[in-house]
Amino acid sequence: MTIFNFILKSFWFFRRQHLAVFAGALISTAVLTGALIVGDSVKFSLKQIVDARLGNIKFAMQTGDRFVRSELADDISKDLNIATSPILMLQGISINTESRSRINKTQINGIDQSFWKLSNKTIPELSEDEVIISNNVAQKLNLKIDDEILLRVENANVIPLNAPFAKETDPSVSFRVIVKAIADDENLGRFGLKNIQSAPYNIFVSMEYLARKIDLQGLANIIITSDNIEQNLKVEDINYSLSRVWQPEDANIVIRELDNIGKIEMLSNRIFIDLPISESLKNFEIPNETILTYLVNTIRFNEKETPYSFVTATSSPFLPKDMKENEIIINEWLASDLNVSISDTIEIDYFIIGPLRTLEEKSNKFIVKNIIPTRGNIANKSLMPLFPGLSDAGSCSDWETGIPIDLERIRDKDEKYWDDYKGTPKALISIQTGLNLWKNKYGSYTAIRFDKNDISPDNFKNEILKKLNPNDLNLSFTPVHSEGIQAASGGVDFGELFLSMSFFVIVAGILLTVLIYSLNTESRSEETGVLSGLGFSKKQIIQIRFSENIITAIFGGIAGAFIGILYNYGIMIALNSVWQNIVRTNMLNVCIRPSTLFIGAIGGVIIALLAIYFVTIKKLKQPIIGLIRDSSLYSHKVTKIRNSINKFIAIISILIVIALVSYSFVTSIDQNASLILSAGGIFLISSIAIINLIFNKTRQNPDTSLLTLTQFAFKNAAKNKGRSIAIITLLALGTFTIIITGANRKTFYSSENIIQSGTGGFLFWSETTLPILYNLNSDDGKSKFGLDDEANLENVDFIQLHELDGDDASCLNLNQVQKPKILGVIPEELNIRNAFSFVKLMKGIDENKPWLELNKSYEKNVIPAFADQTVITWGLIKEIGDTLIYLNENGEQIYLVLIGGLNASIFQGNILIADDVFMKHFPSVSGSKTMLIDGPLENKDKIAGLLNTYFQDYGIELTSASERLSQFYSVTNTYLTVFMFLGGLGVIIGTLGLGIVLLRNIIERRHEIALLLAVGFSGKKVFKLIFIENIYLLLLGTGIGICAAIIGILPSLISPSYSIPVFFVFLLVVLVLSSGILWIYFPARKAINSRLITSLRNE
Amino acid sequence: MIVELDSISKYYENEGIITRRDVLNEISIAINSGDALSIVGPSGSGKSTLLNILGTLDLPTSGIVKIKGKDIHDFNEKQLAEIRNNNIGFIFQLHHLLPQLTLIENVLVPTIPQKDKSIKKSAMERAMDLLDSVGLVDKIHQRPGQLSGGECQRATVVRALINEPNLVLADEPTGSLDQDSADQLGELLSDINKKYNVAMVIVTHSLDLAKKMDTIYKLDHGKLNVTISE
Repeated sequence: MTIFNFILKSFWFFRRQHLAVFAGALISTAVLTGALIVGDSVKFSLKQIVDARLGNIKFAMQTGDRFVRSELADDISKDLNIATSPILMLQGISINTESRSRINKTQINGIDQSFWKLSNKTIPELSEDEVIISNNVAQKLNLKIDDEILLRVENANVIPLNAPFAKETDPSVSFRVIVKAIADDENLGRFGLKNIQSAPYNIFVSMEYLARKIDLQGLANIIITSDNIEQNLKVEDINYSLSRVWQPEDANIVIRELDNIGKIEMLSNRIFIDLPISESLKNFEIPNETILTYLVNTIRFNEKETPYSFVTATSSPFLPKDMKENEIIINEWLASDLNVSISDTIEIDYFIIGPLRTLEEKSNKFIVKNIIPTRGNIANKSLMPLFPGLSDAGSCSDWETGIPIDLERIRDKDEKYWDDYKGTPKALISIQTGLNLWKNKYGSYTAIRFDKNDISPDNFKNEILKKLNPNDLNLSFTPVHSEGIQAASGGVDFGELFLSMSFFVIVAGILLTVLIYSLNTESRSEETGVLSGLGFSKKQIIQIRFSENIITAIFGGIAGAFIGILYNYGIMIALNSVWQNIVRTNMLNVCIRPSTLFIGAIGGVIIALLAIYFVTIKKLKQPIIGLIRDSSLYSHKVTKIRNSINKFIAIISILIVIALVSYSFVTSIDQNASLILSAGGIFLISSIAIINLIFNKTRQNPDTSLLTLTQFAFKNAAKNKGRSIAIITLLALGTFTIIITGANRKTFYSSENIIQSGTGGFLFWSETTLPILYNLNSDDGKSKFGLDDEANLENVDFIQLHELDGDDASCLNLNQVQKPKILGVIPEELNIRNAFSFVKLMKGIDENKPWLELNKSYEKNVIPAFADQTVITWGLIKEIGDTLIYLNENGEQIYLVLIGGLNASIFQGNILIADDVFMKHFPSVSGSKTMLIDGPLENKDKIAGLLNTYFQDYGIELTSASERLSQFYSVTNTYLTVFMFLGGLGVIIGTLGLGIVLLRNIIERRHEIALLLAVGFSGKKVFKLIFIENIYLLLLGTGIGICAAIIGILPSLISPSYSIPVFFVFLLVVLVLSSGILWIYFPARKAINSRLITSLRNE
Repeated sequence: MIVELDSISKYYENEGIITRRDVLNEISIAINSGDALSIVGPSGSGKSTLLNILGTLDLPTSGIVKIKGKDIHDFNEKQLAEIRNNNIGFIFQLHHLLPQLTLIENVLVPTIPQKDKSIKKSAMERAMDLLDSVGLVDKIHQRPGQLSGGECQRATVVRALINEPNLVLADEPTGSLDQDSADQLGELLSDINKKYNVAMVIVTHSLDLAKKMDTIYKLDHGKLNVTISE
């Protein structure tokens, strides 16, 4: 007889018992493996999505609001021998004119044939009126090949739309096109540069055609490139190539020669020369002349006025060196018009253009220092910048300036001046004065001049390119593919998530293993005792038990790993359908890695073996003779120690619960939610300790009175204390967690209109495809859109936010987001309303006026910012006080310090900074695409109807603020649903454990039951006894769980603005109880149906 | 001397009810090779406790237990297991044969932890001899469930002897047997004592069985008294 034979024989003989252990190991392994596979699958799918949306694209340069030459792509391609493609990507609205269905946020991609080289398939060239649409556009607009589609594309411009004197144009350009093809995933149908799993609505159109429609010929705002496998290019290589091949035109620089005055002049076709460019010229060792020309509304002397004139501030050496800041030189024409002489004081009125084209008229007085000839070298028409709509106008009445021009003020002599001298400035001031008055966020100068004797035009161009780096204008490539893969890998770990959400199922599996194994061991305790008696050491006995069960555990682990695949399929099906709220895509595919199966199987086996090990060790701690005989005599000493421990735990934990609850009530119960939750958990522990004590007491104290049936039942429950406590613990823990989770489901119940709620008390959240350039709260802004006559819009407030496009950092995005969208908010507006509430604020932040903290100045380029706490924790995987790094328009790094986390709000997915700071760093962002709208609640529907009508062509998507919030809530709630579902499953498996324990008890106690029947207990009475005995456990478990949960959710219970979904929680508890009763009922029925008396007779 | 008990006492404390139950009180006894003694006494007198202490399955509350001259307090759990395996054979009131094993396998179970290779090597031959001597050689492939109570108990005698112990401890070996089987087993135990010169200690209620041993001790109120000497 060898030990191996002994183990094998035992394994085979007790195969039924092993089968139950196998089931327990199988459940925990299956859940463990399934959860890990979910993690793998989500990551794998996200990576697949990255490949689908980028094809062979590895690097991309997005120019923001700037435009570069489309040939730049060719230049880089030639330089590095890689495939490149320019794209003119604009936002637009696509409309199926037949069905009237529309997609507001359509990505209109102007492409040429080079684009398809970066996909896996080539598509025939697009003619002018043809487009390729993505699958989702075809589905949403119900389009097929050869159908007609109306596109309304944003009327983008090289000049920032909000820049002073920028021409006022229609916000969009419309044209009809025919669907030539429908692009699937292999044809870059999902093309997009944002790290998000949901597919953008893509329409591909000929770049040349699109550019012509919006007057941006030869320009692009995105350049994409492939990789060069041989060279294994890095992003630095691409950026270095960019700096080698870029041209002044890519920085919107125009160089012209002014032969008549022997000068070379640098201008910008963005009107004002960008600050980084003018700053870089400071390093030029060649003298230059800076010019800032501005259109003023009026030049006044006494009662006389000259309307609409150009005034130039210059550092020209022709200006007298002793010219003071309040002095002005005027030309003879102006002197004559106003009848002004030297030393007279004239007044100049001009507009300062604020955000959303708000105009503020200002005045300054100047003393006339000199009068110069109208036609001369000092002041001539070359000083007028490239004002589209002005410099090319035939007459004054044709001016399109972006500021209001009162044509009635324009006299014949003004027209004559325009005819004779065009935009020749009528007055000159010092450059310093000009900068003080008119320097703006778009730039300081309208021109910079150099003497041709100092530098040739060619050298000038080379010098500029040398001094300036594309990065200074925020022109740089990013490794979009690797960043995409990184974002996909670094996002929400669904493996961990489902592992934690499956916690109760795993625990139930383990508990099942422990319970069954424990029962098996108990039933074989005689054998253990005999082996000990025969001279087997504990080590040898553990070895035998372990070896015997390792076979079970390994089989359970292997089978569990494969069942885990099924579990994973179940979860994936749910994620792609009923739980799609979490993932926002139906593109999730299962990815099964052998390593994951192996880890899952090993994990399951280890868990099962640990459970087996501890139970065996515990069993072997009993005296040998106790194993062979009734152990009750031999365990008294142990019980005494345990009783003391239990008493200690019970008293201490009750005191802690009282202390925590009292402290929370005395301070602020809302702020101490986590403390209260802990109190609930500790209450659970103390209750279990108390139950343990009661069981011990019941076992020890002889009852001298007559027993009732229920007392008898309780004594029976106390007899197998370990099993009973295990069942109570599982039920209590499960019920506690389910209720806590259920109570945390986000609901409104009329709390959405509270200003401190996540809606901020706003009626609507609005997003438009095209920017709204005017302040809709001003009369002027309202009249621009015809809103001024609408009585229902009278009391409507608009909070218009500037935005820097970025990744969606809300819970709708599964990727780890590096650069979320930034919104510029006006802190004062939100502070006055005391809108929204904060979960967390950085130390030192004024809790009473947190919004105003956004205005505070930190170090250079360090900016205070807020975000939703959920975004900070889950989207960005950061904490309060952490920093996000962006590049501003000048290519400088800016550091957004997260100084506070908002309670779940409609701002989810965005980073909030002060609008002033926003505009300082991103001056080109024109208009507002995001608005918060408030108004009378009773007019909500009317307001929505009107806004949808008036802003239809802007692609407005008006969402009720509460609906937007509920969208985010739906994600959280879906997570909670999953957790509750799996938790419920765990508890139900736990109640199954109760059934198994009961069944086992009945088998073990068959003699006892038979005796009861023999002494005159009716079958009904025996059933009642067993039923009550186990109902005790069920009710104690769920009761303790419910009480602990009530303590845990006290802040929510007493909060007037929060309602617990009572029905939902009630339903769950009823389900657990029903399941428990079911698992008690059947074994109890079986007990009285067995032929027990016979077994007694056989004794 | 195989086992020596020197002034051992044993008592149990019940929790909750403040009581102390004295089971054994200052008992001293020495067991040598070939001794055959039985212990009788009323239920609850501590017979089995005494036997368990002799067999190192239990420890006294006070006093010294020596096995082959060495105090068992000096041994760890593993060494005690070795001592039991090499020196002591147990026969319990219930046979406790393992249901998963056949008769021969059950008998050979104690050889699994046996370290003496010569004993291990000859175990099968010895088992067959012993089984033959107890009349079970034709039932070696049967499982305990297929045997009668007497047969099972006789098998446990063989199991107790398989490692050639110096001492066999039997706790109510005939308690679950009918009279005939009990008589047969009593004879068998007596024969074994004589044939193998193995010390035999039997705890029993049966005076018939007790008389088959050389010395009968009576355990009463925790004290051990010799009632009948050879």
